[in-house]
Amino acid sequence: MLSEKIDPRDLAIEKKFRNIKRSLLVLSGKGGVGKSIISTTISLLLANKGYKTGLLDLDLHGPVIPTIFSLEHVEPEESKHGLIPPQAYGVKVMSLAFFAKDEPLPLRGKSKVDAIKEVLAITNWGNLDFLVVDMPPGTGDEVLTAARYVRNERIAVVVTTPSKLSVSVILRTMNLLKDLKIPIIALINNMAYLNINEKMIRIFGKIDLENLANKFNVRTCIELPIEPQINEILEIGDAKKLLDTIVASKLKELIEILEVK
Amino acid sequence: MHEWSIAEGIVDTIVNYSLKEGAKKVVKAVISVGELSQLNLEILKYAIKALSEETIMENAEIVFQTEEAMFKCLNCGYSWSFSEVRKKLLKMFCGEEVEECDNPVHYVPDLINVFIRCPKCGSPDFEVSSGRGVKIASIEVVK
Repeated sequence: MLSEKIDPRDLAIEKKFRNIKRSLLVLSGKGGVGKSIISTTISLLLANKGYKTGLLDLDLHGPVIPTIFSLEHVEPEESKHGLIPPQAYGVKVMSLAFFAKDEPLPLRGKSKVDAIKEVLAITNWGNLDFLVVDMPPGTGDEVLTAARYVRNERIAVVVTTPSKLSVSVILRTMNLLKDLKIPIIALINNMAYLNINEKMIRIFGKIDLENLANKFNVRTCIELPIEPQINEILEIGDAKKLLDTIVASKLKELIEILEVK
Repeated sequence: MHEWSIAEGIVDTIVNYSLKEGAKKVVKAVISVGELSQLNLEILKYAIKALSEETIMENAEIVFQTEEAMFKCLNCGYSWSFSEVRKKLLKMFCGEEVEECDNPVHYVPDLINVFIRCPKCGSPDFEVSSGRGVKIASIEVVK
């Protein structure tokens, strides 16, 4: 009676997302712009405000979220309704890094699509107010797959650095989000400046983020500084200290927007 | 216990599809199970039966079609089966002489590329040509 075989993961994913109120997709055009630290800090801020928060690491080529949370040696526990994401500081975390550890993930297009579907289908998040998704860079298979299956109320944040190259690439990301009808609530310019003796020094120059935001009807632009303290936090492995950074204080504006919307 | 989660997806999918087709009862379902998923079929069947209770697929005949997992190296063209590399995979996670054990590929079959290399040329660049995961192959219903 079937014209083609049915993949039971499709409905399993849909069912799992019924208990997640909103998904915040964190995207960038390029890798290395600080997307994972920003995703982590946003998740910590949300959890700190009492929201049930999950953080899904879909960056297949550089999954670092478990390392940021010092969860790299932890494995998700099984339950009858799927794998239970390990938790740190009130944030439930899921990543392929829990399975692949430090090994490379040499996956081609179809395998990437299947791996993302599998993670979405097997993760038992329970009830969440927010699922923050650290998306893969670019506009390829992984981004399209994640966008196709994360079907609850979706909003996006786009991260760039003050470099012409990064800006030209996020234009593609923003156009894709527009086509996918996923609203962008904020543009983040990471590593925009360095504070030395209370003087703001733009070591990578300045980009016209406001102009870009206007083109896409994005109302909020946030500039984040280069903050050496973040590296120290990563070294000691205490992610909660990210809440004490200037980056976190700047990202509170984003949390306020999420609370209003 | 992963089998229970898979069974939930299978039962939900069959019931949902059959109801949409206007079925009153599901008589038989054929489920294709890729060898790479390393699912325990006895547990899977037990879980499907248990989760089917009080649904339109209660007492339906459940048939599994096991699909052999095959790989093709995109570097040298060599093809091989999961049985050739299965022991090596299990040894990596559970030690010698183990017939069955939890390993990452059981949860995410695509991770086979992380742990196994082409037996002929050692390349990680290979594709799973068959036997990856679980699909519903056919459903027989009464309307």
